[in-house]
Amino acid sequence: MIVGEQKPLEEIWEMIKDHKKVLVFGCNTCVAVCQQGGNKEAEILASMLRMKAVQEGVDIEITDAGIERQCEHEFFEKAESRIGDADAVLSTACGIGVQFMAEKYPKPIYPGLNTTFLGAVEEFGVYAERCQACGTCILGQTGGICPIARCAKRVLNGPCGGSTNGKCEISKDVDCAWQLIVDRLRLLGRMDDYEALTPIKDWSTDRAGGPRKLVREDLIDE
Amino acid sequence: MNDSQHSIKRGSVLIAGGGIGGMQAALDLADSGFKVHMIQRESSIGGTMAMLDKTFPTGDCSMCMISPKMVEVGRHPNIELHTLADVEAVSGEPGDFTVTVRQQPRFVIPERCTGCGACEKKCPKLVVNTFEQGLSKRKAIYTILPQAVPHTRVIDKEHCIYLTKGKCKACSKFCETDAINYEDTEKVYDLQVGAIILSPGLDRYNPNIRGELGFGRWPNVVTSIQFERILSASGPFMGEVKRPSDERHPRKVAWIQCVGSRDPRNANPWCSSVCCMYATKQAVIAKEHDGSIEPTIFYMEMRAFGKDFDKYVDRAKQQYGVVYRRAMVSDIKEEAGTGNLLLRYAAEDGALVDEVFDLVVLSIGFQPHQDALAFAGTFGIDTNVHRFAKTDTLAPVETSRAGVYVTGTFQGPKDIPETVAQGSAVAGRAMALLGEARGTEIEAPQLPPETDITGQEARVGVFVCHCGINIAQTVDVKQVAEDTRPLPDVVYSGDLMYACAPDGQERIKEVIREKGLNRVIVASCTPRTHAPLFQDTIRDAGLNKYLFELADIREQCSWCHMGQKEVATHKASEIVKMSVAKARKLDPVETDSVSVVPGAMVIGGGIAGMTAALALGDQGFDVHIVEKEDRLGGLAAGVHRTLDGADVQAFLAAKMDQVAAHDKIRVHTGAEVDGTGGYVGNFNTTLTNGDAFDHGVIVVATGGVEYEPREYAYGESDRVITQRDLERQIAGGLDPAAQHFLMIQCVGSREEPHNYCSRICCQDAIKNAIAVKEASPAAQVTILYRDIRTYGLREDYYQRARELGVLFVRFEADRKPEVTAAGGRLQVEAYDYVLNREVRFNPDWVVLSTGLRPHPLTEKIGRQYKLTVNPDGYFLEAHVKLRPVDFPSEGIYVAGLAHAPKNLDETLSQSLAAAGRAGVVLSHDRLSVSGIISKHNRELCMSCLACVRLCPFGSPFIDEDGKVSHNEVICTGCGICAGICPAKAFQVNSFRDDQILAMIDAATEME
Repeated sequence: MIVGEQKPLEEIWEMIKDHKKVLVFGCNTCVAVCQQGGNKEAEILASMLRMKAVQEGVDIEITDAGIERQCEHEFFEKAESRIGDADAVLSTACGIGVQFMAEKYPKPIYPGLNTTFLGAVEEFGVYAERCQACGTCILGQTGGICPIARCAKRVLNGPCGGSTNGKCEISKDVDCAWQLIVDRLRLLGRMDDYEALTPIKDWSTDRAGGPRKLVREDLIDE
Repeated sequence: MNDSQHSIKRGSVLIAGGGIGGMQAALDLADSGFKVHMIQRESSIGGTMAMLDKTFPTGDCSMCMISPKMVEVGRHPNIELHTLADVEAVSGEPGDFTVTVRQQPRFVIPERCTGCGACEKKCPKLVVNTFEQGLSKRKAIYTILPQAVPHTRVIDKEHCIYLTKGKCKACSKFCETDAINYEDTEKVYDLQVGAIILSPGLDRYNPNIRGELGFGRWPNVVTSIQFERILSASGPFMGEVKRPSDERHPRKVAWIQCVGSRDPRNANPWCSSVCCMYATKQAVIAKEHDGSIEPTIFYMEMRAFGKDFDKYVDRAKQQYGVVYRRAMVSDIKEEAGTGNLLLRYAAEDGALVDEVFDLVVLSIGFQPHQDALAFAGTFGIDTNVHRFAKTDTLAPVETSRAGVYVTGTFQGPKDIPETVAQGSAVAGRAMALLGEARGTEIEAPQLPPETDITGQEARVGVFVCHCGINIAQTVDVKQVAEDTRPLPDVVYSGDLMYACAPDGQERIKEVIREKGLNRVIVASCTPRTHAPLFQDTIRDAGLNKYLFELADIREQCSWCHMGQKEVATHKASEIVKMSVAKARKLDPVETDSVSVVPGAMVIGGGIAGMTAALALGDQGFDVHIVEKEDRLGGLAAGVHRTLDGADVQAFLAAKMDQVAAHDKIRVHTGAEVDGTGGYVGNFNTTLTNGDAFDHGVIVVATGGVEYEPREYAYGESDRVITQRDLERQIAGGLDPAAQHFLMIQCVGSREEPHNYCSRICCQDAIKNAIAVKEASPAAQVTILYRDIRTYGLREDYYQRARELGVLFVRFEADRKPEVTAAGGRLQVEAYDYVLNREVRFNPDWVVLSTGLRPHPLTEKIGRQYKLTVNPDGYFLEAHVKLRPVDFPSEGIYVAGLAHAPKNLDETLSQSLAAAGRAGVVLSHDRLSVSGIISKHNRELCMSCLACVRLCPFGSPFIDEDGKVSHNEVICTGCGICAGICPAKAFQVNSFRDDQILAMIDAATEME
C-alpha cells in the first residue's frame, strides 16, 4: 500500500491562499487506509482550511469532494463538474494521483500529502516501509526480507560492520535487515542461501533506468 | 439446593422494603418473569439513598442515579407497589406463602391525582420535614421528596387540620380533579406469594444520647444525614453549605466519627461500615462546593476497606487538604455569641487541645429499626443479639425461615454497592427457589402499536424542565420554551416542573396525542440516566422510542453557569435549538431480537464459581464450570474457620458434593478457556482440553491468590509464618501453651505498588488470635497493626480479642516494625505511638497477615473478553454503585476475589448476585438488541480494518468473503468505528453524521 502523510497546514495554505475557489479532493484507496488522504480526510482538511481562511481574513471558497482512486481515468467522470468549477485543486492523493490529475486538467493541482513510502500496517497507526519497487525482486533468496528496502546501505551480501546487537548503526530503533535475514534463514534451515554470493544487482529496473512503464499487450484492445 | 418439596410454587415474590436493595431485587425478579409485590411503609419508595447528596468515588448525584430506578420500579408492569403498608402476618411455606398486608389511607385517589401540586401549595399547615431531617418544613399534604414514586400526594393525618379539627379542606377546594378523599380508610388484605424478601433498611443512631457532643443543644452540631441534606441541591439550603444557626458559610468544619458505633456503653457495639467513607466524601464534596472550607475528620480508625477506598482517602488528603486527626472528641461547647463550637480532644502525644470549629458533623451510625424485633416476629425469623436478622456467614441471605430471605442493612451494616449486589443475590436466591413457576403470574406488557411516520413532516414537541430549582434557578425556563417555539417544525414548546415525575410524563403523552407530535425533545438533565425513561414514555404514546432527543441543560448549563442567568438562559436556548435541528432528522429505529441459549459458563471453580453455578443450576439452567486446576475448591481449600467459627472445610466439601450431584452442572477441570465466540445469549466456547459448548452468559469467578511475603524475615526462620499457616496448625490441634505470637498486619497491602486494603487480614488475625487465647489463656498475642478494620458486626470479635488480652500496637507505614531472626531467636522492633518510644519483642512466632493479589489469569481473561481492570489488577465492574456485578459488555458478570478482595460471606453474596443477574438474561427466550448501534454500509467499506482493530467489543469482523462485516448484536453503539472509519461506512443510529452536522450548523448559524 502507498503510505502518505498530510503536509503541514501552513505549507498547504501557502499553496492555495491566492486562489478564489479551491477544491480539496480525496482519494479513497491507499491513502484513505492510512487515514491521511481519503474523502473524509479531504472533508476535514477543507474544514480546517475554511477556518484558516476566516482567521486570515481571506475570502476563498473551499469545498471538498473525492473519488475512489485518482490514478484511473474513469473514476474522475463523476467529479468533472466539481473539478471544472474550481480555480485550483488540492489533491490528497499520493504523488501519482496528483500528477495524473495535473495531466488531465489545465489548472493548478497541489499536493496535500507527502507520499512517504510503500508500506505495511504493522499495527493501527503504525506504517512501515517494506518495498522500494526496485523492479527485480530477490526476496526468494533473502528469506522474505528485503535488503533493498530495509538495509540503509542496500548491501546485498551483508551485514556490514555497522550491525550491533541486531540493530543498524544509523539508529538503535532500526533493525539490521541482514540480522533479520540471517535469523530467518537459520529458522528455515536455509543458511546455504546466505553463503551464496549475490552478484552485482542490475539497477536498470530501478530508478537508474529512468521512468518505468509496463505495457501488457495482452490486455490492450486493438 | 432445592429447599422445598412443596407441590405449589407461585411465580411471585413479596419484597418488604423499597430502598435501593429492595428495588434492585424487584427489578431483577420482575425482569426475569416474576410478579413482585413491594411493600413500603412510607408513601414513596427510595429509602435512605434518596436522601443522600452525592456518592463517592465518582461524585455522582445520588438522586440522579436512584430516580430513574424508582421510576422504572414504579412503571414496571410486573411490580405492584403497596405504599403506606406493613405486613401483619405471614403463613404458609416456601413456594406458597399467604401474607396479610395492612395499608394506611392516603386520602388522595391515585387514579385521579395528576400530581399538579396545587393542594400542597394551598395547604396552610406547616409540619417539620422529617425527610429533610427537621431542617425545613413541609405541608400536611405532601410527597416526601419531589421525585416521589408513586407521585400521588398523601395527607398526614396526624397534622391535617381537617382530619384533626374538622375544618379547612383547602386541598379539596383547589383540587381540579376531585382527587381528595377524606373518607379513605385503612385496608387489610392478603397476598399469595412464593417467596419473601426482607429489605427494610436501617434506622440511624440518635445522637441526643451522647450529651457531651451537644446535639440538639448547639444548633451548629448536625448529623451526617442532615449534612447530606445541607449539601443537596434540593435540600433546605439549595446546595449552599450553610450552618443552621445563622445560615453563615462555615469555614472550619469537623466530622466526628463513630457516633453511635463501636461504643457498647452509650450506643451500638458494631461498626457501621460506611461512616469513614461517607465522612470523607462529605468533606470532599463540601470543599468542592466551597473552596474556603477547611475539613477535619476526627476518627479512631480509618476503615477504608473497600475497593479503591484507600485511594479515595489519599486523594481527600492530598488533593482536597482534608485533615485526618486520630482522636476522640470528648466534649463540645458553644462559644457564647458566635455559635462556634469548641472541641476538646487529646492530641497524639496526649496533650489536651481545644480547637474552635464553625460547624460540627456527627457521623452517626446505622442500627436496625426500632421495631426490628416485632418485624422479625411477624415474618417468623430469628434475630441476632444486635437485632439484625440472624444469618449464617456461609448462607448470608438465608433467614431462619425457609423461603424468607434478607438483604441490605437489616442483614448487617453495608454500603450501597454491597446492598445492590445483595439485592441481586436475594433475587437470584428467590429465582432458584421458584425457578419453574417463572412467568406464571405476569402479563405481557401491552404497548400501543407504533405510529407509522413515514412521509410525515417532522412535528417537534419540546418540554423544558425546571428540575425543581436545579435548572430554573439559573435558567429562565419559560424563556427557553418561548425561544424554541418559532423554530422550524416545532409545533409545541412548554415547560414542566419535573419532566421525570409521573405527572410530567403524563403531560408529555397528552401533548403527543393532542398535537400529533412525531419527534419529542425534553430539555432537562443528562441522557445517561433519563433518556431511557422518556423513551419509554413516548413509546407508551405510540411513538418509536428513537424519535426522542434529550437536551442537557442542567449538567451542561445550569450547574456550570450558576449565577449567570442571562448567558445561561441563552446557552440553554442554543442547546435546545441544536436538539431541534437534530430531532427533525431523527428516524424510527427497528430493534432486533436474538434467541438465548439457556446455559451459563462459570470460569473458576472456587467458592464463588460453585455458588454461582449451583444458584444457576437450581434456576434450571445448564452450567459449565471451567477450572484450570484438577479439582474444585480454589483458595477456600486453605481456610478452616470463619471469624464466627463456621467450618469452612465442611462447607466446601458439601458444595463440591452438591456440584457433583447436580444434574444441570458439568465440571471441566484441568482446562482453561481456549476461545469464546458469539455474544450475549449465544456464546460458544472451546476449552483447552477440546470440550466445546454453547451458553448464554459468562460468570467470571477467577478468584485471587495469596501474597507470598518477602518481607519481615519470611523464609529466614521457620518461626516466621503466615496467618494461613497458623490457621492450619490451629486446625491441627496446636497447643499454644505460653508461647508469644506476634502478628504483623498489612503485609503486602496498603503500600505502593499494592496500595489497597486486602480486607481479610484483620479478620484472619483476630480469628487466629482468639483461637490461640481460647486454647491457652497463658499464651500471649500481640498484633502490630495500622488500622484494625473489623467493619460491620465483625467488631464484636475485635472486642472479644481485647477482652481476651490480645495486645494491639499501632504502627505507621513510614515506621514499620523490623524483624530479625538471628541465632534461632526472633526479635521485633517497633515504635509505640502511645508510649512514644521504641519497643522490642522477642516472640516465639511471627505471624504475617498477608494480603490478596489478583489471579495471574485475570489479565488473560480480561484480554479474551475485553474486560478492563483497575490499577490494582482487579476487574472493573460496569458501575461502582449501581451495577456492582455487571460488566459493560452484556452477558458477562463478575463474582468473588476477581472483583476485589473480600470475605467469604461477601463472596457468597456476590456470587448469588452474579447468578441473579445472569438469570435475568437466561430467563428470556429472546433478547432485544438496543437500537443505538452502528450500522455498517458494506458498499462504502474498503476493509481497511481500522474498526476491527479499535472496537472494544469485537463487533466488526472479517467475514467469510474476507471483507469486514458487522455483528450488530454485540455492538454497543459507542461510535468508535464511526469516528475512525475513513470511508464513513459506519453511522450510529441517532448519531449519524447528518444529524450531528445539523446540530453544529444550528449552533454556529450567524444571527
